[in-house]
Amino acid sequence: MHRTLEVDHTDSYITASKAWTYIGGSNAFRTAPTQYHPYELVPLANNDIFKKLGKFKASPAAQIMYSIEPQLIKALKSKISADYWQYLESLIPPKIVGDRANKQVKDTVSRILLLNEKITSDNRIFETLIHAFDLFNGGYDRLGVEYKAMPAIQKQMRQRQVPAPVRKLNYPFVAELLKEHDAPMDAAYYEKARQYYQGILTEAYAIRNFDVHAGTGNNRALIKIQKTLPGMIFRFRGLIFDAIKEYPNATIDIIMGMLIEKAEKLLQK
Amino acid sequence: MPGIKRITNENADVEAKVNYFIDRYNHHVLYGGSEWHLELENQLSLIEKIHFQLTKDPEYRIPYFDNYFAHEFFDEEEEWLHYPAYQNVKKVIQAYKAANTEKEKKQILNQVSFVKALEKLIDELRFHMPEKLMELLMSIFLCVHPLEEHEHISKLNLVAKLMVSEGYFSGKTLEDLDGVINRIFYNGNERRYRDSQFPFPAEVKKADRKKYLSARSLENQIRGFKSVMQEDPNKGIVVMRVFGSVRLPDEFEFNYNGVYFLGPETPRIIKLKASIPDRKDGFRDFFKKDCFYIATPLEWFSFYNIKYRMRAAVSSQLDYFSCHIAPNTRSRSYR
Repeated sequence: MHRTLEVDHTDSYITASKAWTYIGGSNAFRTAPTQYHPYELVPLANNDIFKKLGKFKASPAAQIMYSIEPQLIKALKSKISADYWQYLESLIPPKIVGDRANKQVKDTVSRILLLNEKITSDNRIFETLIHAFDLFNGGYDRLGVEYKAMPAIQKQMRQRQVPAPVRKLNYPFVAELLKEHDAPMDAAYYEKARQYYQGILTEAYAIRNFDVHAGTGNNRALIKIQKTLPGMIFRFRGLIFDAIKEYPNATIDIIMGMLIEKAEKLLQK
Repeated sequence: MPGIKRITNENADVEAKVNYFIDRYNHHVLYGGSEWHLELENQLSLIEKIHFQLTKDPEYRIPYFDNYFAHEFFDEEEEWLHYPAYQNVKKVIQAYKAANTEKEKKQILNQVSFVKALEKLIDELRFHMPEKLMELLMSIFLCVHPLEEHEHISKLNLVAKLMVSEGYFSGKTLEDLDGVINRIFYNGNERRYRDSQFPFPAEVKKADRKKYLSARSLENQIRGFKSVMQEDPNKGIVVMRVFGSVRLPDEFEFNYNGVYFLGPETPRIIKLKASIPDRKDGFRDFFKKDCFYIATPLEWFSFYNIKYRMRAAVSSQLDYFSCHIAPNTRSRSYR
């Protein structure tokens, strides 16, 4: 056991010179805890696999997801590449026949992620557009859209449709985003995405071998992985969730196999 | 995230280009890493990783080098033009790509001259990259052709990617990078905190700062992007409180692997407390005796990242401390 000690989570700190004299600092009252808004607490319910897969307790794949969830939480907390890797390897065990263990993870994750590449991209584009036309920062005004038209425009964009006034707009950044949105994702596009994910996983695996500890500051490779890998894992996990809901009786191997097959089709189109 | 289309300029073409770049920059800050075309990478980080892999792992694991050398940066000559040392690195990479067997590849990697060439290139990139990016940006802005021509859009996308990556890789947070545009385009020189001050180039003296900004020239502003990239971190000792219903003896002091654990009446804390100016009376709470202190020398950029860095820097030492003061481990003492 250990005693739970916590570094102060308010914004209070003092900075001092080498001689321990005051340089500066920030002060927050102890009695004022950080106020959370309901929307900031949405991730709690969104990521709750025990509730989300509650109806599928009998699913063999869901049981594996349950049992390895603590590994993911450990990785999120430590931010160490090796911990993320452990989670992925528990989810995608190495094949017993020959082949290297890491290869299995890289090939599987980098392919399955393609299945929501379009959704990921659309979410990014529409979130950006919704913010661009924001009513509070005056974006709609600078872009020359009437206030009256805004509610309908925002509603359409939340439904992931491009409103006509936005389409007509002559502003290069918006036009570029729409170009990205309209461009069909073909096999070549998916292949680039697959190589990117494969590359990230390869880098993550290299770091895992060096066993670099989080927080060592200037390690560029480490920062890249910390900013990229967690998002990939959550996307991957979401896809497995959906598959479990669709095929509650399938084992995790069968689910992975089906998803890979679907992804392969995207790469061959 | 700041809104879009924030800049006005008397030249409509320049305005369109600057706005496009700023929007792209902010977009990359928010979504960097999420898709293949929004990768977080630049030439410096790529070459540093290759150097690290080469010098730290004597086994030369080929899959990692295959991965690094396949990066699209190595397919383009143009981005390396300003760095003469690249030519020697390129030769090795091309030879490596032409090799057929692992053994051959390992032999190619094993040349002493490759490490030297990489080190030279790293020096060049560290020294020149911010300047070259700023110059490229300026040349696009001032080009007589509009945004839509001469691949300006894809070039601006690239500059945004390289600059934002450099920001993250130097240890800045999303909040820091989010603030860069505001610091460059909307600030006076009187701001007290560096986090919100215009990033003045080192060669501009304090007395000239007002003049520098009032000139309102685009070039002066764009120079800010370069100095942001070259900003040195603040340095000092950071002191924070530790909670957990533990009170250390008043004068207890312990240093484990560079991190101080300090009771409330240790000489260091007394000295620190005495040096706080009277007007800063808000820190009274900080010295209430219901906690103890943890302190370590640290480098940080801003209010935003000092907290993250501090927690990361002391985490394993704090774990050590908490494991060894737990009641049931007290008997485990090594003499």
